[in-house]
Amino acid sequence: MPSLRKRSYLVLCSIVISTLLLAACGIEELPQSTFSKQGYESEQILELFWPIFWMALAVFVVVNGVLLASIVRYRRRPNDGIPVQLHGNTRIELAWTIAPALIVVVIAVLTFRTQGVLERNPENPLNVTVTGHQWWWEFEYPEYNFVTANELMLPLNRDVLFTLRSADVIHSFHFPRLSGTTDAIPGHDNKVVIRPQEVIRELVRGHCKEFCGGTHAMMAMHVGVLPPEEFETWAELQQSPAAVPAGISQADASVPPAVGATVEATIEAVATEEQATGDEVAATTVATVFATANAATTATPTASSPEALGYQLFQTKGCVGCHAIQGYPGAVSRVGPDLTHVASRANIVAGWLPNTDENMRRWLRDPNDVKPENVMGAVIKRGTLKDNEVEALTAYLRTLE
Amino acid sequence: MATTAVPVPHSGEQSWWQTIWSWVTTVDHKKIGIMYIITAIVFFISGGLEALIIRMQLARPENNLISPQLYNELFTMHGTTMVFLAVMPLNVGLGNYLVPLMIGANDMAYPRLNALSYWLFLFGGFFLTSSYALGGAPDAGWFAYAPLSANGGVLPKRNAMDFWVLGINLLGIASILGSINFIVTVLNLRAPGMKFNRMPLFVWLQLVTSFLVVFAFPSVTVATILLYFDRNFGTAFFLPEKGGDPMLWQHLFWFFGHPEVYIMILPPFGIVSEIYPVFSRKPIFGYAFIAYSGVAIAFLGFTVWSHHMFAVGMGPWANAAFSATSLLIAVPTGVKIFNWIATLWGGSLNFKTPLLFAIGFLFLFVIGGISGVMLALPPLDYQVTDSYFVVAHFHYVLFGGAIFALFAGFYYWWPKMFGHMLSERLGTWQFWLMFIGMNLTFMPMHYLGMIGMPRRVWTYERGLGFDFWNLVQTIGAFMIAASIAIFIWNVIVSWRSGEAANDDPWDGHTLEWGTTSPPPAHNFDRIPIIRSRRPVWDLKYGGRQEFTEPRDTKAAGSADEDDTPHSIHLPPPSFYPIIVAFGLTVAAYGLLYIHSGGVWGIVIGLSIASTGIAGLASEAARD
Repeated sequence: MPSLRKRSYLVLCSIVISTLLLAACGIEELPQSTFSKQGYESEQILELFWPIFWMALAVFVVVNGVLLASIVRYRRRPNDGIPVQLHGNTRIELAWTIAPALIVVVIAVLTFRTQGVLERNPENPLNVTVTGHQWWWEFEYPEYNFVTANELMLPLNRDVLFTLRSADVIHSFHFPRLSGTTDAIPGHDNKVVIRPQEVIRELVRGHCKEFCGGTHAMMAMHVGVLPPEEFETWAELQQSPAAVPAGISQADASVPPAVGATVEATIEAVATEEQATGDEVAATTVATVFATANAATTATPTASSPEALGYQLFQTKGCVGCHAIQGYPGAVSRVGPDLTHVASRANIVAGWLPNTDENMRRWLRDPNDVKPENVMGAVIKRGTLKDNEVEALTAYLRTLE
Repeated sequence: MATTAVPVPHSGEQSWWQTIWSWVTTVDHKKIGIMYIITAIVFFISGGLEALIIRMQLARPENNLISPQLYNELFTMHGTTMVFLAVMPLNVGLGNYLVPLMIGANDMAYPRLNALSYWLFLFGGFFLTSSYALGGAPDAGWFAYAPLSANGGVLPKRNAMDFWVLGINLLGIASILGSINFIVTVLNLRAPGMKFNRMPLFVWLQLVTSFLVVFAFPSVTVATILLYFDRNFGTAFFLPEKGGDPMLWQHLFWFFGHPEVYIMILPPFGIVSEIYPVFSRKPIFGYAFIAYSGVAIAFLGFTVWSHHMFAVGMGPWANAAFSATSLLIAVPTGVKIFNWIATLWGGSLNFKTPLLFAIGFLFLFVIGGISGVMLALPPLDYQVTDSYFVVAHFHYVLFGGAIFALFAGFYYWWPKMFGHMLSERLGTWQFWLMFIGMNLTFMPMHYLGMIGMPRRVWTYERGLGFDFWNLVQTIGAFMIAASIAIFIWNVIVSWRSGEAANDDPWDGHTLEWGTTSPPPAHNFDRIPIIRSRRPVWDLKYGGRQEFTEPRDTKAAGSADEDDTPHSIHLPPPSFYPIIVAFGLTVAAYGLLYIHSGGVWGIVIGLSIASTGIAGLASEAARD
């Protein structure tokens, strides 16, 4: 029944095509899609992608089409004799050596052109230093003199010159919607230029591309793009020191408490030894935190509000050992993410969780439960922080807008 | 046929331990080839199980089936196992079995070296796998990028990557010895009349592959030894804070790693180059183009390594140069594909399982080749490097390519090796399940890569568009697993009650079809004078039938004085290869525990190995 067969082919084809269309629609809206033109770089690459894609599809259709045709046409039939014993044909073979060579030349020309466009000198760039850590991102804006973590804001239509570094192993910096991948390699300062060309208020996502051990899978980051004036406002906010909760006297807030002082001294001591790696600094600091934090808890913190209690716990529990907060005495360590304006971020835990109170509590209660084998989880286990302490720290971190 | 005075015991008279002993001490290339293949299939299955666990973990977003640590171990071991313990030894195993048969020799040039290669491969594989039981498997990826592989960053220190380093070296010794053996065999033991341009293409490509191994492996050997020093003796070849450079590792590794791709794929090219002509009853189209393009690919294969490193910041000029050489390699590869299709075109295609798999190979390899060209373009690579697009690409090349071709080879040569046919019905089921499962598993990965799913991730977040296709891929992976189960079942059925195979069940072209199934220990009583590329076809359809003298003794490479015409010199079985391999493995365990008394392991291991080597040397003197 040829008609039935034909109809079922049609049905099959329409199913396949509609599936592909469904898959394709909204494809450029996905948070890590490479089909986006939000960055000058991603747009240039996409403009190279499409012609290459259609050429690839054509080669696929032609080559595998001929293959399938030969299968159908030359299937052995019962009274087949021995076919013509053809050993080759030099002219044809030369032709199909030259044909792919020509296609390849066309591809190469298109490619090198795009490469030329991508390798441009930035004009009046904004500098951002990116440092990959196992497993989070540190972003420093040297011109504005502040540090933030896991979330970037960029000004619209301005070249941003990223300097990529790593504190430990190789990471790789990639916001597919803005630009391609570049590795962050310890000992090398890689440079990337990205020019965002669309405002992005709902942050889009990027991810570490190079396998960096442990929870490489949970090393995401986010980026937003603001018009220049709004970017300046954002940068001003990030520059300002953190607020001190009510109930903490100014005198207390200016003297580095015991733990903070010790940590500060340790970091300085370890870092001045030339041989020390980022990890050795981290290890020593974490050890110091262990040693001093427990001793410090003997002085039970007393405070009027949860925020003030959280403020005190931030040092007595040893958080200062790893996290910096501008304006918090002694909190200068860069082992973990800078928390000066953590409440202003959309996400926590290297882009993994939305920044809600509940998620913050979950994280503080048992970091390993959220992100197994992470560095903070080596110090904070389930039960290390009591429920009221988790509550107080969350309340305090919430004030860091 | 003439009877022979071969000092090989007949299997029917043996007790079980004699049988085992005869396999342990064998130097027969056919037995060694079979042992290679069986061992490699076992490792292939273990690598496949690792892949299944990986796919189960990735079936759902934010899944917690296994820990990230275990996941990292599994994907590292999956890659390492499939490359070093499955695809490479499957190629070597088929080559071992077939190269001497195809060139009309009665063994490899160095039979005991051949046995040593096998035992080193087996023990090396055991050594690597034993890491699971001895503190955890390697977890820094099969590419082992420093500094992660050297010091783990903030991760606790373990000796897992030492397993990888030392295991790769044991396997590397096995591969280099094996390749030297192939080269000498092909250069010296060809039958009278078999010029280079009459060699079967399978032999050609095995020869080219052997040269690749000999030139590529030293690079990874150096790299891994330096890494071992960094890990254990406080050097800093790859550690930037002490003056080393992580880039050095990547260059050394990929200078090996890219030729390694061709080491894995060229022998499968050889397999299908044998199958297309036989099943279309035509000679191969463009023999010389296929042979020489293999050589061209091998040469170019050494010039493209940095296309694995476009994102490391080498600058536009270096990237453009490596992009150009990579594009260049598409040309000889394309030529091969056209020649294969032209071989089918105009033929009388006999759709048995070997041809099914070989055509599956071609269809899938074209896809892998095309995505390979896309990845060779730096700007596109910037967007999809280290994403699932890359995973899709190389699985189309290595699973769709190498594994499909290897199964084509199994179905094709199985009757020759074991004297039984594999079931066509089960084979067809296996093919379709594997083909559909393969595409379900790996086709969506192109899309996932394009929408930004990074590779080597233990899990992924909801809402990124990854969920549905990951589930589909997991289903596809289980279809592949089912197809492999059918193959195993097919083997069992064939073993128990398979249809007996005659000497030439497929109407073959090359010399292996001119002897019995399975061949006698000495391979051939007499072989035809080689006048063309298809000696057995000539026997059947060519008219002229001239044979060499019943096996000339010189071919065995010995100075045997026995001049009775029917006596064939075969090397005696030897126990020493396994001793040498065992000693080196003990030494490797010694190096592994170098800081806790491992020195004694090294001393004992090397003593055992030296004893074995002395034994081999004294045997040679008596021989």
